[in-house]
Amino acid sequence: MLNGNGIGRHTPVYRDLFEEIEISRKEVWAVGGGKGGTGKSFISANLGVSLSKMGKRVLLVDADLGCANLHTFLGVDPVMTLSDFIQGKVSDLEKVLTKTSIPNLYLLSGARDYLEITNPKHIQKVGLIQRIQKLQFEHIILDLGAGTAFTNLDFFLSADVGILSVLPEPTSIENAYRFIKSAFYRHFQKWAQEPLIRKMITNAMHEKNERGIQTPNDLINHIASMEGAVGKKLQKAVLSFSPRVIVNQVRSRDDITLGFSIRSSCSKYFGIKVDYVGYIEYDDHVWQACKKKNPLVIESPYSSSARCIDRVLSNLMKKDELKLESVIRTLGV
Amino acid sequence: MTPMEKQNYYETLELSPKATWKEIQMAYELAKKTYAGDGLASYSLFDEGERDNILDRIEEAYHVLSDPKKKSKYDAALAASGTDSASASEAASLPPSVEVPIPEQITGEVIKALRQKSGVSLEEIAETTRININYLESIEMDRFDFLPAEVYVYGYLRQIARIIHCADKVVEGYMQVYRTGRQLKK
Ligand SMILES: Nc1ncnc2c1ncn2[C@@H]1O[C@H](COP(=O)(O)OP(=O)(O)OP(=O)(O)O)[C@@H](O)[C@H]1O
Ligand SMILES: [Mg+2]
Repeated sequence: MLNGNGIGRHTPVYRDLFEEIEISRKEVWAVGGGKGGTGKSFISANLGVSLSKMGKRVLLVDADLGCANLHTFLGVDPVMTLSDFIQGKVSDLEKVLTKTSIPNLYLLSGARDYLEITNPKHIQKVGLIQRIQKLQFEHIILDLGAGTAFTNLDFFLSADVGILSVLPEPTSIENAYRFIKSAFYRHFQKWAQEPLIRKMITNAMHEKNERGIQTPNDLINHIASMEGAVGKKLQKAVLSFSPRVIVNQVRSRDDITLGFSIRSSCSKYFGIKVDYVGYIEYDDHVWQACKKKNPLVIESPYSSSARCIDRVLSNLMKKDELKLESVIRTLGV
Repeated sequence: MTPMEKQNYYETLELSPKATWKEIQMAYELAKKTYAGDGLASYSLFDEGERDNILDRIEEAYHVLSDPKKKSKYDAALAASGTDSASASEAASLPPSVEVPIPEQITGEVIKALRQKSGVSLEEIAETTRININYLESIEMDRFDFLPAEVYVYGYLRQIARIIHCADKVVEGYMQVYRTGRQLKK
């Protein structure tokens, strides 16, 4: 397929795209979720394709460094990958971009064969995140790997919007909570510089402790009650941590309302506001499209799952969420 | 987020104080399902005792909010005191250094100053509360005729107050200014 050079800022064909359009506001979304196989890559790819069909300039980043496969959902075969960049073979990140068959949609492919860089050094990582964010796109979507490795958490926290893809089954939900918890504490640690507070956070992470601090929410309230200014700062940190949840592969009404229950549990336990941006139906069209290496929203745009993607995308763009009332009205639960 | 035991009934059911009867029913059904013994979303965060505790609170909240008589009494008490225990506890945790001297007249400008003092932007408030940013701006600019009816503005102010940690008398003070402002327009 096409190599990454076609998109470089210095290539005449695309010059106008890069130099004359002032990209005003950029939004970075990250799709994570803890467990493997919850649909992170499927969702990233299709959100990206849908956005570019709307005329947005979109970059999909396969940030699943150990196990990249986003390119398969798009049907492209990247010549260069992030590992070429991380290993210093290429110094210009733009040269690593792969053009896709969809106008306006580019892919920054993960490292296919280089397992050793699943956890790049912190310095490399910070540099990478910053370089990615500087690329000239209106939307950047990061497809994260499974698990709570720091690389995943840092990519997740670097995004403007963190999206969790959850399946309606116990293991997936447990892992999603583990992910939220890890990301939340990492986010929190960054805000709290005071050694004493950091220690309290670390202690609180270790299960239930004798101070009656049982949940992150208790911790915040405790900090607020003992140290006014610090507490307020941390409460601000809590306000700025607001992941979005997608329940994928739903098969029943209960699966659909599960998203609202997750929202409620997170509010009571973490003290954070989680937005339930929507569900995606379990649909054979998904794997049929996958087999054809064609994105679902192009292969079967009128399938039930593609419509679900549209609704999720609309909520993400409007910073809105699914309303219990409208679900009950349409499904008559 | 207010500790659970200090939340008012609306907060317990995760409802806005403007919630309709239908919304109260739906929130109650969902909450019961969420925290029931086999609740998929809650079992790994709360143990059985904690879930029972949450369910008790939910029942108590629903018992009052589902009964029009009890509800209107409760609403009146909530509004009159202006101190549901939630905001009282937050006010109590205010460090003295953050206190801005509060003038007699609580105009939009005062609200704005308090907000800026607490380092929260209008966008952040809009984002967390889902209040239309135009309303938030109108509050700070005393554009009373752009604002909706009193009950709504009161609700907005209470949400803002909770985020920027200002005392209930600020809310009451602004509502007085709002009422006077509206009256003058008529
Ligand atoms: N709504 C759906 N209906 C049917 N199949 C689905 C749906 N969502 C995802 N799948 C299928 O589930 C499989 C896993 O999806 P995907 O690769 O996107 O998961 P992932 O979270 O990226 O996994 P990993 O953690 O390995 O990166 C794919 O084969 C995909 O086709
Ligand atoms: Mg994947």
